Amino acid sequence: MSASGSGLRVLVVDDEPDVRLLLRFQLEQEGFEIVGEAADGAEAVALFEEHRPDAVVLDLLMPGVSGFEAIPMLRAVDPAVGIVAYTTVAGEIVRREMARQQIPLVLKTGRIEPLARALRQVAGAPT
Amino acid sequence: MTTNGAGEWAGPPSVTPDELDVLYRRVIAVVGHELRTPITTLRGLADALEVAGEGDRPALIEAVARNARRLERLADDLLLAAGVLTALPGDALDVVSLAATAGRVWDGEHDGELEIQGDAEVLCRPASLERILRNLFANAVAYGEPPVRLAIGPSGATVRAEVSSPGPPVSEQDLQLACEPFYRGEHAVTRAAGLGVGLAVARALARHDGGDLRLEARPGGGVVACLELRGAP
Repeated sequence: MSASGSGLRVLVVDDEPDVRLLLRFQLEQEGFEIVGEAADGAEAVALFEEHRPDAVVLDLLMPGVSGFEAIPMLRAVDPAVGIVAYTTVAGEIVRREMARQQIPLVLKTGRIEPLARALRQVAGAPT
Repeated sequence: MTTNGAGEWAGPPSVTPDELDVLYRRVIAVVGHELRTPITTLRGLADALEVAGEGDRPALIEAVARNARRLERLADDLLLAAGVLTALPGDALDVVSLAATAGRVWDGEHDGELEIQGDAEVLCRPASLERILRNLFANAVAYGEPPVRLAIGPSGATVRAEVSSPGPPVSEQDLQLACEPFYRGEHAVTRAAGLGVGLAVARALARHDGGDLRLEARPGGGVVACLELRGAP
């Protein structure tokens, strides 16, 4: 197991159960601790308030409260929350909006390294 | 929106070659998006299985099977939506309970409760009915709010099953076009990913079994998907 996650506590938010299953496995392999899994933005905010993780993996397109809508809600709880946007595809508008909000955007490719690196970055850990 | 002199929806507008090109590109983009999620998940699962211990392997292998089935359904949906009749199921008609089938489909896919009112036996292809209901429930969950309700009752010689969930008001244009392949309403585009073929596939399967599907506005907001099937003899 890599120790690169160094026990950073992460909340995983994605409406796809198999994506959550895979992320939990891959991130734990990388040394992260998964403190919770949410299927939409509303659940994410509740779990964030409960667990106060070091970073949040946030799918953008979800039924109910979307990732886009969850960003200001999470920041209302903790303005310094570390968020990584995790999405299947992202057009120019989404990329620009995430850059404007200073949120790293990682495309879902099945490879965990880019996501792990972004999580360490937003959590202030060595990358 | 195209309207007639009375302000009513007057059918789909004609499109120019340029508009057709834009639509074509959008369809390709949407198809690519929908394929990417199971494909990238499968790629990650394959990597994960290489390093997984015995304790983790069963759940990962189940996920591989689920995503492979999802890809298979996507391919079938695309073919059906494109009018490829060979993608229609060829199994035999049978008598099945709508309520029992609905409960089984719902429990296998969704948390929360499905409110079922009434029941009836219908003559259809059981696998088709499961797929129709799966698509109607997915639509109700993705674009509406709980509770999702299924009301079953007779309608002349046929059985009528209405799947509804509360939600925002839906335009007449969306109601008319929602069962067309690749159509996604303004609300749908920002709400959830999707090919825009679920209702088209459900309608094609219903018609293949002698029934039909159309959408109506739900009083108070949201949509009612009205499925008609042949009643059991």
